[in-house]
Amino acid sequence: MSRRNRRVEWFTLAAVCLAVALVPLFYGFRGQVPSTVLKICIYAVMALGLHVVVGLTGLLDLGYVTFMATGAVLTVVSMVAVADPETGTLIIPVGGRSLRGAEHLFHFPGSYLLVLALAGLVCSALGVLRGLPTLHLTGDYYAIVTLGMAEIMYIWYRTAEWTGGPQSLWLNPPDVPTLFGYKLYYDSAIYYFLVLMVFTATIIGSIHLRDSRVGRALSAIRLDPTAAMACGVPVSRYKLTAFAVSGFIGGIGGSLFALWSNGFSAIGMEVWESILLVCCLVLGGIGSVRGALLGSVVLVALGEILRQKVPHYSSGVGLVWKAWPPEARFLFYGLILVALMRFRPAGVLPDRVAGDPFPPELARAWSERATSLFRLGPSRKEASR
Amino acid sequence: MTEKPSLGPATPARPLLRIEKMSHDFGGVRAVRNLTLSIADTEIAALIGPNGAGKTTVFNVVTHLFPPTTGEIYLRLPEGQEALALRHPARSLLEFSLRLPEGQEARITGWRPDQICEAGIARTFQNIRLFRDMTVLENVKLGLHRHTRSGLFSALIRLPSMRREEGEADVAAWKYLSFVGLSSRAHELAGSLAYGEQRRLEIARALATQPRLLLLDEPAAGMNPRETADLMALIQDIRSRGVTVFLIEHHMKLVMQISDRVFVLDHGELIAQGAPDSIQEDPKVIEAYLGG
Repeated sequence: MSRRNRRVEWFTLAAVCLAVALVPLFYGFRGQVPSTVLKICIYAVMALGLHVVVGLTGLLDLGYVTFMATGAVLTVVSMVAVADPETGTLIIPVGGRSLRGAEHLFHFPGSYLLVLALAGLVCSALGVLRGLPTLHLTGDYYAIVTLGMAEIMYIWYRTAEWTGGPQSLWLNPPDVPTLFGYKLYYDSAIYYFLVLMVFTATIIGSIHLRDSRVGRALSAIRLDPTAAMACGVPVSRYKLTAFAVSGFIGGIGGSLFALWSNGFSAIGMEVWESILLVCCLVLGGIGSVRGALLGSVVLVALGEILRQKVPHYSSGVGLVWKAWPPEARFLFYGLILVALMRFRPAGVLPDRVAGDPFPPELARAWSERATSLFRLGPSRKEASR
Repeated sequence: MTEKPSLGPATPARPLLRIEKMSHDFGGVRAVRNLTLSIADTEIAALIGPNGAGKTTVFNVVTHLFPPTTGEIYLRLPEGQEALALRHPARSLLEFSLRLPEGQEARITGWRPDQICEAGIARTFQNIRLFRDMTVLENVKLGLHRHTRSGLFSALIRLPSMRREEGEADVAAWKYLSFVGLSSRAHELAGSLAYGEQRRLEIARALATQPRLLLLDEPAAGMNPRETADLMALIQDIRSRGVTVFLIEHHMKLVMQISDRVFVLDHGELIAQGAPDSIQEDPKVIEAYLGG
């Protein structure tokens, strides 16, 4: 991307972050608008995590919800876990049950940051573990394996006892983690700015990654793995790196999502969530950071809007609008994607690299600079042999 | 095979690359049969033969896009880099330590393509394999991958050391482009270059890996006479810098003018090797080309 485009990109993204930061000025921290903004930010974080594998490395991951679920369940479980006052054993109170007088084991200063990092690291490891047997798969085969593995994890979380199984694990007020002395309620200022910080950091990291040696190697793997190997890129290692980064971000996103939804419910972690995140990328344009943001904004906001009984006209007369069932939003996502494929197959904001003429003044500057990286033939030591 | 009288110079005493009794099968088709050949330091060697003779397969096996069915490949590692062999699979490690007293040859048969690249073999492809959606400069920077360090964390927070390295990689990549004559196209997309330019860009990318042996798979294919003449000068320039060139080519004028040694492959078998002029008169070669 040319220098000018890059400046425009930074400006856009800074504007987005600033807009998110300014929302509470108008709407406060409580209510529909800030809540939706937070959800958009969390999904954007996860979409950017998925982007590392799908957009940069070019592998279709249909099981990203696994990381979201793992991050969420780890957070909730560690926050609700209490020591049994009588036996001292670890209990996970399922179904919103609360034990009076029981001590929270994982509540200490800074514990949430630890849990957040842990959620990321565990998901990172999970990504690598999932990646190891699939290193040589590409295209549809990789997508099918990720889908299958996500289903396995989903079924495990839905049936395991420690996750609450089909019931939910709620974060009761005493369970909610604390950060710098403030409770991280889903409608608290501290939570809002925590999400904003993670969101900003993820955007900056994504752009830096894309414009770096590592990102270039990942793109090379997407564009032509054989040529990448011939250039000396250790393809397997870089794929594992991508899985680790992607998993890490997914875990962080999942952890924040758990606080947003004030608990964990395995039922909400179906394959649809993976598809939704892929849709976010496709809508915005696969491989584009701005696209991932746009996709999250459009699809998450649309999902929230469809959840509402929005314009509620007076009853009895004419059309009464009711809330759609939650699955109905996928109907709309489908329609949007069909329209997209018809009119803008590359997505709304594709990251199109444009060719530029090479500025002669740069040529002059570069031709005068010496660098040890430029070497033709054997090194001097070898030649003098 | 070994009994066959050699028409050209004897095999070099300390070859850079040595292929020994290498065969490769695709299912039932034996693409390369019992091939033994050596490439000497800083020579231009050519591999010729009719279509389907197995020439590209030889390159693919050497760079380990697929392993040989049987046979071994040895590469002489430069002095001070013998330790490279120790970083690679246990099989080579054992082999290498056994071979160490005899010379600095490493058996590279089982190495991964990127390890082979690191050991000093770079290649271009018959059907050009550029990263078409990247700029010309970025393509070359990928060639520098092994010679740059910055990792994930320095990338994410964009450490000053990483920025410095990127800047240096830009300059170096641009110098490789200047060497092949593409410096003014540095910021264009690789896919938008003309065919002959794409071939030169592939050579620049391969040179950026700083190889000692450069494998060129039909570098002159699809080039006009003028481009071919430029290419010949370029190849000779590369060799004069101390890089050994091994090329596959159908363009006989190019082969006969610039190569020191020619290997002729037919139906996967080496039927002749030697100096260009002796090859031209070899009855077996004439038969292979004209049919019989």
